[in-house]
Amino acid sequence: MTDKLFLDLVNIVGESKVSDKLYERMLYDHDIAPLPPEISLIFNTIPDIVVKPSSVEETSKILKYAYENKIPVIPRGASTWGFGGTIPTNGGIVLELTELKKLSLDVENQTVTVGAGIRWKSLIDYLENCGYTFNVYPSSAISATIGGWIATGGLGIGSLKHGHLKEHVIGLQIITSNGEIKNLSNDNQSESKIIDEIIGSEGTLGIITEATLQIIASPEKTISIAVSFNDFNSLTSVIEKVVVEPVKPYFIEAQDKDYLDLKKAIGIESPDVPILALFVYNGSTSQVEKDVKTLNKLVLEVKGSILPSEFAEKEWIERFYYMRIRKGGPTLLAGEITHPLNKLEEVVNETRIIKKKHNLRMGIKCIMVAEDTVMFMPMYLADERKRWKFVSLLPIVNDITNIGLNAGGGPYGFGIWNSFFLGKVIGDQKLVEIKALKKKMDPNNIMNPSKKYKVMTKFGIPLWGFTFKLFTSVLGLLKYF
Amino acid sequence: MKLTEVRKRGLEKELYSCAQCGYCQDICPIYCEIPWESASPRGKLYWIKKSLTTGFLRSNVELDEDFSKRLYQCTLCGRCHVVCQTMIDTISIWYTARAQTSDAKLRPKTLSQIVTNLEKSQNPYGMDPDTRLDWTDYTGLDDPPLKEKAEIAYFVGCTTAFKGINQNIAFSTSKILNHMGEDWTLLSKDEWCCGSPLLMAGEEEKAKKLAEHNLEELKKRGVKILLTGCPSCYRMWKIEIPKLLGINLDFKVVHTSEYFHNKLSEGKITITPSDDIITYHDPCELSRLSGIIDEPREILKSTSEKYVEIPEHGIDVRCCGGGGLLQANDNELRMSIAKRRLDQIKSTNAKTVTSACPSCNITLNEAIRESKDNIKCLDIAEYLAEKLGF
Ligand SMILES: Cc1cc2nc3c(=O)[nH]c(=O)nc-3n(C[C@H](O)[C@H](O)[C@H](O)COP(=O)(O)OP(=O)(O)OC[C@H]3O[C@@H](n4cnc5c(N)ncnc54)[C@H](O)[C@@H]3O)c2cc1C
Repeated sequence: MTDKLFLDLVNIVGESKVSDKLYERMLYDHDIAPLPPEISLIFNTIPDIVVKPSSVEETSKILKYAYENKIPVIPRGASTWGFGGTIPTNGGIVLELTELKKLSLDVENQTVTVGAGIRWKSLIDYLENCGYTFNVYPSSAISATIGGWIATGGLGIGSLKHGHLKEHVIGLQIITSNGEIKNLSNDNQSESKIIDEIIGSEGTLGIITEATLQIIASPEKTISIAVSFNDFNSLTSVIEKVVVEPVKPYFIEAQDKDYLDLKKAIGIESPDVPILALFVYNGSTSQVEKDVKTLNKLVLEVKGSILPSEFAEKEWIERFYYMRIRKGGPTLLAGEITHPLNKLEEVVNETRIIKKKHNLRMGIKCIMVAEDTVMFMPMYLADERKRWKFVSLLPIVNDITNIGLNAGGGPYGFGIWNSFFLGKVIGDQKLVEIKALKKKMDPNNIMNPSKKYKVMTKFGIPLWGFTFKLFTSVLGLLKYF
Repeated sequence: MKLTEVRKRGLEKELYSCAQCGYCQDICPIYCEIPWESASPRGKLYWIKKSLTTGFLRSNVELDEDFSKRLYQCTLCGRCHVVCQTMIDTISIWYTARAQTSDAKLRPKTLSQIVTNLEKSQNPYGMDPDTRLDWTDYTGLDDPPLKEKAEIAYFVGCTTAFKGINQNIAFSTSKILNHMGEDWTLLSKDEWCCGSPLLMAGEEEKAKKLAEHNLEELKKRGVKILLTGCPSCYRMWKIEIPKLLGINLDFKVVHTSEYFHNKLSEGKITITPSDDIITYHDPCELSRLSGIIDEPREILKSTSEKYVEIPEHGIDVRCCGGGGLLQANDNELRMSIAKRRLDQIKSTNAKTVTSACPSCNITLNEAIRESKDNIKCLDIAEYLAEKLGF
């Protein structure tokens, strides 16, 4: 089977774009979330083959082939998402899309059409050279691909001011599971509906091959202000006020003292404050100056203080580097949830209870992704070399997700590990709807099967939330042996 | 065989701190040409980690020829370290892994030839050691100084002394030293390779021997300053040799670009600025790995009013492909990397690109020759000597 698969795919794309070598395939068995090898008890995470198409046509032919032969296809960008979206659960074809590198600027319409494999940072840099910018990008922009972010969260830097990524997508080119290439435009109502579903579909409905995005002229000025707050309540109250100003900040993030201490522990100079927040404004110089004055006033009112500008500049440059603290681990585990802003203090308190209970080296980082929504990311250090102890620390990620759910929010994506929360988050009716859509768009269930909707083990038995919980707790108990 | 040497040298925690974020991919010169995980830094780190994780349900990854080949598909340019979330000491990991492949006899054959050459003739090219000074004849350098005692030893380096295209670098440097009236000397055949290629081929012990010999020769001559125009020799002397031998050097190690820069700022060399459009390609071992970034730029800015930068420069320079012994291992790969860099150089519209490294000089000149582009590539010493009318 595998030999035939190899030869067939080589026939389609040529030998240099296919690998069936074990030393290669085994590097495609994970994403950024550290997993214990025990995972191989339930999943077959090493793909049978990896293919790297370099054109839309090649991608379409591969899908057609997989469709006819009913072989699972796992789309993959840079594999920087942490919920298992790119991890095979029972072999199959990993379809790595990083070579789809089209880039074409349409100055007249202020749009750019980009291949799914372009990295967000290279797009932003390219646009900046031409005097333009794209409003939003993930903080993993250095490696995350256009396709990967469209297929997942779509919230990140700039979302506070400019909204969700989907508000800036004008059209998508997708390939459906049978290999059909479709050009979808937001101008067309029925196509626009499909675009809406594809965004955030985690590779389960089709492959995104190209996106046309609305761009704008680079802002005249960008300024970042570092502020120290005494507690999360004062931070929240200032955020609540600045986000209702006519011009919202471009970006707001905060780190607590514990997180700053974890940075210090690895030699990164950080201010000694209870909470370090960064407010970034952009726009016309006069507007930005006005905004900063307003911020200054509000900060003083809650007895916060503005820190020297070098802290702000450094934090802004470091916005791509929030995993630095892993150096002290050497493993880093993290929760990632979104929740309403007015629950921030509550969520922080509950997270700290968990931290205390398990005696974790944990710090909190959060960013504002909408006027009233926080993306909350508590991160804690572990050491995967200490096998059972490490495994016992894994279920804490779920505890954090539950805090988010209780606060009226939820996990930021599903993949494998959060698939159990899907119904709870989107509601029963929506669940029925998207399951029907999945069936319609992917009748052979080859598009990233075993993700988001229903997870299957390598034995073909569904993995339910409680069995998974049991599995992890049993592994966790082994630390006592 | 497992890559256990990484653990023995205390690099295991570094290895495990890899976040797999992939920031090291698009900036990696190798990954840009071979876009597979196994050719990217994060893929290599993940592979090494797997090879160290043994036991129940653990992988049975063993060092084999396929992976060993990947370890040598690397220019050792160090950019993966700079862009890394967790600032992993990747360079040390790459060198360590290579050291173990040499033990396991999995090193590419062409590199073993270099090692043999170095053992036999103390240069990587297998040239007769007696011909080390032949460049002085070819270039017409009169009275090359061969003194018993001197303040400055000009450590020419094998790639400059033996490679025709680079010999003018040595000539130019010598002319400038004479012009400055320095008390300087060449070491002639007493100069042995600095040992950098041996480290790159994973042969530390053999590198030590060369270093010890050179040290002896320098001591004999009472040298206060070791001057070199080769970033590999420079880094070897400044960083690696003291580490390898566990000593502090009792002379200063100076790169020619630092030396020229000093002389210019002291006003001892003066040049009237021209309007040549000129640019500078940073050698990775000089800029990123040794921190010499401003000096060459200041030299060039003082000689031309139209100095321009290449995209990705300074600490973020994109390697030209000339490092890590890639030429011996996979020349085709080296040339495709060089072409990519040349395209960036051409985007500046400069008529002259300078560098400060004999390997960059060879590689870029070769790429220019192949592409038939109308652009000149010179070492900064050659450029300066030309301006001074030598
Ligand atoms: C340091 C760091 C910071 C991060 N910051 C953010 C942030 O600010 N906001 C945020 O949302 N996320 C963030 N993430 C998570 C992640 O980087 C993003 O979700 C990113 O957009 C994923 O892109 P990728 O190319 O790595 O996708 P992958 O991880 O390769 O794929 C993610 C999912 O999308 C599917 N997929 C990938 N490409 C395609 C395609 N072309 N067509 C169809 N399906 C596809 C995959 O099957 C998978 O299910 C961060 C991660 C890191 C490491």
